[in-house]
Formats: sequence, structure tokens, C-alpha cells
Amino acid sequence: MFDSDVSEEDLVRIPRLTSDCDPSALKISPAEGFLLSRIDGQTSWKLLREIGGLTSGQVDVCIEEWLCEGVIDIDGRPPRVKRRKVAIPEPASKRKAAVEGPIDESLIDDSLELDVEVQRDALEFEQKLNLDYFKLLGVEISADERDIKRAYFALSKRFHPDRYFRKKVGAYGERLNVVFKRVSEAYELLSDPVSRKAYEATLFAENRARPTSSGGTGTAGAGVSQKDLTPAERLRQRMRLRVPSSVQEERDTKGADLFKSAKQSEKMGRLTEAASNLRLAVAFDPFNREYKRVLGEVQAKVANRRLEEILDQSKQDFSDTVQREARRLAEEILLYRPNDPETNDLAARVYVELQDSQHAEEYCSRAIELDPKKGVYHRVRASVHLLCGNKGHAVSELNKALELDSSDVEARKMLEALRIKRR
Amino acid sequence: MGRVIGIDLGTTNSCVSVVDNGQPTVVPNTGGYRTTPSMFAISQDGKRLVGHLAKRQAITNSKDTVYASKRLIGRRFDSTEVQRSIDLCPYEILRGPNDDPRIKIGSKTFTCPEISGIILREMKRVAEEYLGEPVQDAVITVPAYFNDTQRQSTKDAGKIAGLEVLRIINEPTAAALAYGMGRQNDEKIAVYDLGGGTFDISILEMSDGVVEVLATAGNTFLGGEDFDRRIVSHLVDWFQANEGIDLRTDTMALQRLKDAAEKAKCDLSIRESTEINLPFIASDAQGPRHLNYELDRATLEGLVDDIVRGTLKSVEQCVQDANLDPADIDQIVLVGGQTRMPLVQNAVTEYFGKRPHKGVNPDEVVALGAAIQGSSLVDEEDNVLLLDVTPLSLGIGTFGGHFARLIERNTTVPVGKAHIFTTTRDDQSAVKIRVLQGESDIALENDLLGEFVLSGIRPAAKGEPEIEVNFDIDANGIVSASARDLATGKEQSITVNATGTLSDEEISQIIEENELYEVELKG
Repeated sequence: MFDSDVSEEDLVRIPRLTSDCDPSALKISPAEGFLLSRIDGQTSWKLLREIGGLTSGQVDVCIEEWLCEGVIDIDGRPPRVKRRKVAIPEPASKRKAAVEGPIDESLIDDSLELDVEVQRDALEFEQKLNLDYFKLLGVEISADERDIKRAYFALSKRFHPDRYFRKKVGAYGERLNVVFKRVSEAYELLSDPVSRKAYEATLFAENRARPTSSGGTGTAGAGVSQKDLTPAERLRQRMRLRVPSSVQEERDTKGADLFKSAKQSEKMGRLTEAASNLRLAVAFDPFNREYKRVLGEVQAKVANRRLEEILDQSKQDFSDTVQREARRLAEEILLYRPNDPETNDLAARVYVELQDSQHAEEYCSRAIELDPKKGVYHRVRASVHLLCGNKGHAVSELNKALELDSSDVEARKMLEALRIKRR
Repeated sequence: MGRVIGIDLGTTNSCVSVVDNGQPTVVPNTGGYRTTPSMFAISQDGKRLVGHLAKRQAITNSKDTVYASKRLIGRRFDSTEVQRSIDLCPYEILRGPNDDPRIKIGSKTFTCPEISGIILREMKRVAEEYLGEPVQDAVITVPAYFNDTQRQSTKDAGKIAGLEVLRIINEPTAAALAYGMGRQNDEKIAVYDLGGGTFDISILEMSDGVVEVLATAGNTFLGGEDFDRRIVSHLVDWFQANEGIDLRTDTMALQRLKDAAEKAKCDLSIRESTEINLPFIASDAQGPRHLNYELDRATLEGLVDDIVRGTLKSVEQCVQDANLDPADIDQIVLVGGQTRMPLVQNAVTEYFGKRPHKGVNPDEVVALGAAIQGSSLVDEEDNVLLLDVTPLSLGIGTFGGHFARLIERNTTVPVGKAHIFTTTRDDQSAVKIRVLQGESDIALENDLLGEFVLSGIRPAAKGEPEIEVNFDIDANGIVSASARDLATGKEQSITVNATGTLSDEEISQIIEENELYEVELKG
């Protein structure tokens, strides 16, 4: 029905937030906010369409928009024209509560060149401005295109500024202007089937979120009580309430299934497969801490394994691409386990290979700090000193290493080599 | 209060109309002509000539006769369209101080609004003579695809002519109004307007006393003049091949050819072939040379077929934008003299699957519609309500050279949208906002309407200040912007530099100057 500029290729790409973007500073509706929270640099566009809480078309539009605005980035995919205007408006409840009451009769002025009836209508309408678009146009939510158009035309004939061209209307000039603009806005949104659907969805979700509905609907997921949640999680949970429960249940089931198969893959040592399934599980059920924890572990294992691999092969292949990967993975593993001496040591070794003495020093020192009894760590520190050309310090570190672990062949070899050079 | 007149300020011809006893009527001039050529000249002895008088002496005085200035109005001197005109026009086009194109006629340099103002003044005079009373107010039409600067400049032209321009309306919309007058049925119509210099296509819905524009598209540099040029090119090539003389170097010959080409083109809408006779077109060592050529309809159609195909592309875009299929259109209304050509009519019939409506006069319908809109605005009765749209998207230039749309094309006007901006550096005290109009995603490819600097922002971390900028498009399709610093609640002062338009002082000065002249009335 309308063109999609999103190709099959695009769908497998993964959007991520740009480094200088501050999501909380964006002016977006809660529905869009939820989608944005799903963009974590791991979830593909295709998946976002499924879990984003909006229709595929709306998700595409949001992503394109955010690409244009520099909020998100997708490697190899520049922003493109969006042909259709799909407005995803603020739900009515965000605006000031509409209080309909009698109009202020003192504002009626029969000296103006404006029918008193029209003045009354305008004042009444002014009160309705904060209502949802359907109520504003005076149509049922089930109204078809023709009803909406008819309502719009009738209101236009009443409130369009041209009707009062050059007439003395006093303060009503501005009033009519505001009313007409709002009516136009409503029509623009409701006459476009895509944006109308989006709007109806937000209205529906709002109704569900109201406290008058059955108390405690999904207020806690996966057995986590309110006070245990971090602020971010609490925010996510509030957004979660905006999703219909049938959809939520489906998601929970999918998440559980994925978690199960991930654990099996892990047992069998197929770590990348496990990690990918865990990621999907987290996407479907972001409140589940268990999923996240296990994901973290598996990802750490995967990264560790890969780094060891890289170090082993560094003599044969240490191209720029591999180096970049190594650097990235080193940062990653430190994120997962910042206080694990083995992790710090591995990172240090990688940085030595990368000839980055600053980082290497930092991490090997940390490793030693965490576990002073491990001889190997001192050996690594020695290699850091060697990087900086500090032979003296290297020798003393190697001696320390051998003190702690006399079976360290590597350390002995390095010491020999240094002694020879000295002479 | 005086009457409102409707003026169709066309590229090649202009027309004025007024609503008389509820009936829109075209006002003929004293010579009985119902349209007036949009031409202005200064004769050898310094007299100012407008309309038919100017056209009559165009060939012998081509250097000092202006035509088709509508193709230049509101454009930048460096734009492709102006540069093309410089190559093709016999009159001199210079760069003005605002980077606008200025025209040198006689010893004086005129701005484009001034030239249009002179033509509008003539139309005003024609109306006043017919009505026997002074005329103050007018509705002037512009191509639907005109951008903000082009509209502003046309409004300025009205001011220069001593008119209060009540509304600038789009030509296809005006045509629809005139077409729809007195009709009861609900209809979806397409207005295909191919005039002398511009092409517009609009799709409208008429029902319940409301005329709503659904979508509009077009090309402001495509029209009958381009058809003429193809014929002239063809003749020049033929003459060169047969006589060995290049007529392109001879301005007077080119003018004669242009004139003859236009006549031949019109002829071929009725006849299958026509003779083009231009004796003494050139001379060389052997003596005088004459041009005798028989042009047939098939050859003409071959020469211009791609132009017509080009218009259909815009039609396709417009139909898509309106979310319709060609079959959904109940009626096709043809506007502009060029639509008399059988090739054009056939192309339109083929596309929509039905024959176009023949009941309107393509030369006059726009002026009639303008008069209807004029009386609709000032008269007491319940008249037709017009809901027109802005043809081009409005937005700002963002970081990285992108164009961010704030108001989409084909949005009903009047419309206003607000957007919140912020700073990109700590303690940034001012923001510069470039207002652009167009459809490209690349900011540079769109028209810069103006830029403003909003200063006096309180020192704060980047991203913290909230500046609400309001963009407004009024019923004329003209853009304005205002800004408010949400932190202080104050409306900060902003200066919008509308690039290329005249300042109020410049306009006043021009009005003064023009009042000193009187146009020759002999005719």
C-alpha cells in the first residue's frame, strides 16, 4: 500500500545509538521511547519490527527518522526519504486534563462582526482542544473515512480563518486560528490509515494503563518486586504496561523457550549460538535478570575464547582488522568482569600484543592487586616494562615471577634473553 | 468598499476578471482583447509600452522588450533556470545586489517584481476602465509549485502596482473553483495546467461547498515556450543544412523565428500541416535568403514528445501523493493554451483512461477562479471554502548537511508546527537556523528561504537549552517563523533574511519612481 525503502539487506542490519546521543533529551512519545530502548546495538532491524511495540511500518519510520537526525547509526545504511507522513502523536493523557464546563459568557461580544453563535461554538471548542482527536472531530472511533472527511469539512466551514477575512473579530481571530489548526491536525492524522492505526493503538494502551483497570495487571515481571528495580528497569516496566497482555504473554513464552535452548547450547560448548539465543530471550523479556546474567557470562566466555585465539595466532595474523577486534573484545571482557584477575591479565596481554603500554600497565597492575600470588602476572608486567624499554624493571619483575612460580619456563627464557643482551 | 478583481499573471499572457452580479466575467480591454501579453518594452524614443503594444514591436526592438519575466521572478541569479534564460533571451539579464536577476531595458535596470508590477498595473487599469471605478483589492494567481520566495515576490509586484493583494492562490486551484461553480456533485478532479512557462498538476476533491486540494506537483520551468524553442531549433538546423547559414547569431532572425514557431504550433492544433514563410530572413554574398518550410503535425509531435512525457511523470507523482489511482479521478480539467495541442490531450486521456473536460476556456478559467475567490473572501454570503496545500516540504538544515522536514508537502494551509531545538556546544549563546523548502534529503539541494540567528541563550551545558521555533505557513503559502526560549519564556528577537526579495524601502522607492511614468494608451 505504501512504499517501503527497507530492503531485505537492511533488515538484518543492527542499529545502535550514536555515541553523542542522549536519548532522554529527545522529544518522543512513550511508544517511540520504548522502541528506542530496544535499540541496544545487538538487536537487528527485523527483530525490532517484531518487538518494538509498534507496527512494522511505524518502526521503519522511526528508524529512518532517527537515522536522519543522527540519533542512531547503522553501518552501511544511510538515511533515506520517508514518503508518507506518519505522525505518532502524544497520547491525550499527557496533555493537561480537559475539564469541560460552562463557557465564560463574559467573553461573548456582540459588537464584533462575528455571529454570537459562532463565538459560543469557538469557546466551547476551545475547551475540547485537549481531547483525543476522535472526540475533537466529533466522530466515533469506528468512523470510516467518509464520516471523518464530512466532519472535517463541516468544522472547516465553521472555523476556517477565511470565513472571517477582514472582519472585526477581536480576540476570536487567534482563537479561531488555534481551533482550526487543531482540527486540521486531527484530520491529517486520522485520514491517513497508517497514522490512524498508530494513534488508536496508543489510545488503547492508555486505557489499559489507567489505574481503574484490574489492579496489579503485570506490575511485576518474573517475580521481581517493585523496590528491587533500578530506575531504568522501573521506567521499562511502566512502558511495558502500554503493551496489550496477549502480546506480552506471547513474548514471555518465546523468551523462556529461547533461554532453554541457549542453556543447552552452552552445555555443549556452542557458545556463540547460546549467546545469540540469550540475546533474543533478553529482547523478548527485558525484565528477566536471570537471562541477562547468563547472557553476560556466556558473552564473557565467548570473548575470552576468541582473545586467546587471537593471541595464539598473533605471530601469523595480526592485521589491522584483527587488532581492532582484539581491542574491542578486551574492553568487552573488562565490562563483564572488571574485578576478575584472570580477565585483567588477559586484557593486559592483549594490550601488550597491541603495544599499548598504558593500558597494559593498568590492567596487569590490577591483576596483581587482585591476586598477588600469581607469578604469571608478574611475567606479564615484565613484558610491559620491556615495551617501555625498561630492562631493569623487567628483570626484577621476572625474578619475582620465578620466586612465586619456579616452574614458569617462559619467565626463565625471557630472563636468559635479557641477561645475554646485557653483556 | 470597492470590487475585488482576479488576475491571472501568466508567463505569456495575463487576464483579469471580476464577479458581476454573481457571475465571474472576464474583463476585455478597449481593443476588445480578453487577454494581454505579459510584455513590457521601452521604445527607441523612450516611451514605455505594455501588453499588445509591446508585443507588436518586439521583433524590431528585441533588446529592449521583456517577455516571460515570470520565469525569473523569485529566483537566484546563479540558478540553472536564470542562466538558461540568459542564453536564450534577447534582453539583458544582470546580477542584482541581492543576487537576484535584474533586467536592463533602455538605460534602466528593473527588478523582476517591478516588471510584473508594471503588467499588473496595466491589468488594474483595464479593470478600472471597464468598471468605471477605482480598484484597490485583488487576488493574484501563481503556479501551484511556486516556492515561498517566488510568492513573496509576486505579492511585492502587486504592491508596486498599487494593489492590496488579498490572497495569492494557486492556478490549478483557481481553475477548479471556476470549474466547480454551480456544480452540486461530489467529485475528484485533476487539473492539468500547461501554460506558457510553467506546468502544474493538482488533484482536488469537491464536496459540501468545500474545495480541498489533495496533492499538487509540477515544474516551474516547463511550458509552451519550451515547445516553441524546439521548433526554432529545428528550423535553424534545417536552414543551416540547406543554406549553410547559422541563424543563431542573428537576434532579429531568431525573434522572427520564435514568432513564426508559435503561430505554426497553434495552427497545427487544428491542421495537419502548415507553411512557415520568412522572406529575407538572412543574406550572404549571393544575396537575400528566404525560409520556406512545411511543418507537419507528426514532425512537431516528434520534437516535443519527451516534454509531454515529462509532465506525465509529475502527474504520476501527484496521483500517488493523493493516495489515489488514475481511475479514481472523475474529471480532468485542462488549463493553459498549450493544452489545446492534440498530443497533450491524447497523453492525458491515455493516462487517466477518460477524455478531459472541454467546458472551460483554458486561457480564462484561472482568472475567473481568482475573481471567485476574491468575492468569496469579502462577500457576506456563504461561499465556497478553499482548502489549499503547500506544494513543497518545509524544514531546516541539520548537522551533516541533511534536510529535516518539519512540515510535509501537501499539508493543508494555514498550518503551524513547532519544534524544539537545542545547542551542540557548552555555553553556546546562539543558534543559527536555516529554513529550507524542497524535497531533497540533502540540504544544499533545496531552496534557502532565509536563515536566522537566535541569540542571547543563557550559558548552559550543551543539549540543555530548549528553544521552541514555530514555523507557520499562511493561506498564501508564505512562510514565517518565530522563536521562544522556553527557559525564560521570552520571545527572542529573530531576523529572517528572506534571500533575494525586496525590502520595504526598496518597494516604496520603486512605487515612487513608477508613478512618474504614464503608459502610452494608443491602440
